[in-house]
Amino acid sequence: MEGLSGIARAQLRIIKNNIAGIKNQPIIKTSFISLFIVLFWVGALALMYKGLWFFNRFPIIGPALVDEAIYLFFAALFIMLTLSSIIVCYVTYYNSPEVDYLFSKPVHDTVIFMYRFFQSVLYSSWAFLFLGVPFLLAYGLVKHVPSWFYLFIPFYFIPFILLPAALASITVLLFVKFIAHRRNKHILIAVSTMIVIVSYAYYMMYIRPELFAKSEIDYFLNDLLHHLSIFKYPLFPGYWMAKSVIHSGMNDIGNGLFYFMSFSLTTVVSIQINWFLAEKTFYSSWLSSRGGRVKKNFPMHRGIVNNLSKLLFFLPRFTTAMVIKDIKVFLRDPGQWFQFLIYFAILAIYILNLRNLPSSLNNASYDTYWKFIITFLNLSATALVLAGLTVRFLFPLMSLEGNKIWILGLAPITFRHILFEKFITSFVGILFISALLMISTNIMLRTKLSLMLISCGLAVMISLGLVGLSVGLGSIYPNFKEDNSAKIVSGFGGTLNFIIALFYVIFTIASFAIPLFSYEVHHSITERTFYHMIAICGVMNIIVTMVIGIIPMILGYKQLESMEF
Amino acid sequence: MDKLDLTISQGEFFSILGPNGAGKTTTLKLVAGLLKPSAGTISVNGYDINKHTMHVKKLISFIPDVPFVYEKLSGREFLYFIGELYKKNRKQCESEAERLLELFHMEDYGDQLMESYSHGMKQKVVICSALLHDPRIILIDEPMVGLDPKSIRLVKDILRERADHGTTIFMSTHTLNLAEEISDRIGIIHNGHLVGLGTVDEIKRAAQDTGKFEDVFLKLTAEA
Repeated sequence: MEGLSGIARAQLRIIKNNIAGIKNQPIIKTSFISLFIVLFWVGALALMYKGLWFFNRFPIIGPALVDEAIYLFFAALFIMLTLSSIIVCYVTYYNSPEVDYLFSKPVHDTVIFMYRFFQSVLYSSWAFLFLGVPFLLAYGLVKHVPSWFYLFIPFYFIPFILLPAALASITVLLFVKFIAHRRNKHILIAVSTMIVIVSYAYYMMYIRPELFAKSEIDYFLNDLLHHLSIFKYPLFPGYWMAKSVIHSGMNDIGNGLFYFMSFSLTTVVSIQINWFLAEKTFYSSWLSSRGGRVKKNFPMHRGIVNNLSKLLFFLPRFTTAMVIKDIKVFLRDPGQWFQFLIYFAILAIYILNLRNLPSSLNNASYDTYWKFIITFLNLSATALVLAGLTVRFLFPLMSLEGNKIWILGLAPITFRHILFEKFITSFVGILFISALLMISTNIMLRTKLSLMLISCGLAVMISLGLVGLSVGLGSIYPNFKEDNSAKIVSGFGGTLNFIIALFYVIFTIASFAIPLFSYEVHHSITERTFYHMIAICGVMNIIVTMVIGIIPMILGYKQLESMEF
Repeated sequence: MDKLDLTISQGEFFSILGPNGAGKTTTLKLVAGLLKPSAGTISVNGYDINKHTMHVKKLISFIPDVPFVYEKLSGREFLYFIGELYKKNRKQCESEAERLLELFHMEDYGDQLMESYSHGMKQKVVICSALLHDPRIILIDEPMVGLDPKSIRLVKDILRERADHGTTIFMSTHTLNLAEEISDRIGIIHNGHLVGLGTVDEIKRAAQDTGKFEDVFLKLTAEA
């Protein structure tokens, strides 16, 4: 284990320095972030408890529904962790200057690999900490589990973050060794994509029609159970973890431990496979990832993006140049657009799943209450997705100029122009997404035109506020030293952006939901009062949107103008 | 910097020398407007940099010691982008960019992303971008870092030729020979103070040392 002690000592020193760095931070900043973390965690626990409690109180099927939720939760978390670990592992192993440095030192390949592997595990462990632990606690509280169950939660935590990372790591090692640098890699990726599409088409053609043939309630239950049965496949590790939790919750120690051990042993074997693969392939695959790349040419005047200037003739030249530059940089950075694609995939699943709502919901006779609930839930989901998108992709925009900011600092353009360009480009993109989301989901839900127009108008207004907020705050708190947008977002400014965006979305939706529900559902206010309230809410929201969108932009501009490079 | 009082004439090739941390890059960045002076004024071509920032920006070019560029753009795309920022005529910009790429033997690499370039290649592109808009003043920080001997010679010739045609060159360097060879005047700074100013001979005379310039430099920058 040559080099391991040196790396371990250096890491300990880095941790100590980081802790010392936190001590040097302003107390308000540290307290704010700590308070937010605690609030988020407690909020997640409360929300999960409420959700499981809601399922549990259903007569007869309640407890079973809670268990179904466990299968679903662990499956989703396991898949999410595995997918995110694939990206993290690839970047950590093959795209890090630290690995280049370590390979120049007398450190064994497997030591470097295992060190980077555990680093990737740490990067992805927050998901379980912030989602898994509150979920297990909520489950325990709803199911009144024995007290030892709570003490056992840390033991669930360790294998559950290790196994997805280990599987992702094996995938990355094999991919880089055998596929990544081959000329036909695109064919292999295309074939894999085709297999996924064909499987989905098969499911749609042969499996779903059978479900549709049944009566409404039969269909709904069958559909639900059919979907969930995928997560109960006995060889799926998420199933073992769910089984272990369910049995442990019932004080059935034998079965609880059996499934836990199945999971843990698979984890150990997977890590062993990683070790074996790393020994055989890591150095050679790292070498092949360094060299032998065919340098691709990007000729000027070819392609849609290069010819965008003709379409954007009405914009000032430097704005067009900045727009084209930003689009090119985004499209050529897989780290950026891959995450964007994941967002879109989740959105697509969400939109397609809206079709699974029982059709009776769309009947005119159906309870108005549920129609409003679903419409506003849809608006909330869309607004929260937009908030997530703007924080994740727009907040880092200015920071991503990074150490190249001197180019813009020297150019004969003001930061007002640069900021305006970032705002307009982002707003057009977000507006397109929000309009697409609102229109498509409202069509799926078959909401009436008036409600659709209100929700679309709200989505446009929210987009405006969120874009201004993220671009503005991103300029007030830029981080030019970091080129990883995920890390930029996780700083103070990104956290503040997320909190304000969350409150803004809640405020906007609640302010319209209250009068609408009072009038349309509960009939507790008169028509006159309703229209008064709607007018007041409209004006109030316009003011709040302007404050949320414009003030950060002005402060961001001032911050950039006074900045030294 | 502490009370730096310096006037550089149009068409002059001025080099600033000093040990690490003396304030050379800070001086250049102050003139480029990338840093703000806590006291005093900086005038470029008669314009106060803090009051007429936009006007000054059009006149100057800055070549930093580390060529930070947009790695996801090709060299050619970067040059065109700079041309757009300076609102150069598109046709002129394209032909000038091609001429400069050819001059630096970069025409074959112009369409490749700059992330695949070596340090020297990036430096060449940054130098091209600095020359693209025909600036009146060129601020250049350690220009030869990472360049091959042929390119060093080329850069020296280009800078000297530009100075002879009226462009002011303000260069910071550690390389004493380079400063001695091509500068009209040299300034030596130490701990933020200007400790020597003039031609090589004037500095030697002032230091009462007629030996090698290197010895004079070491004498002037010796710690008390």
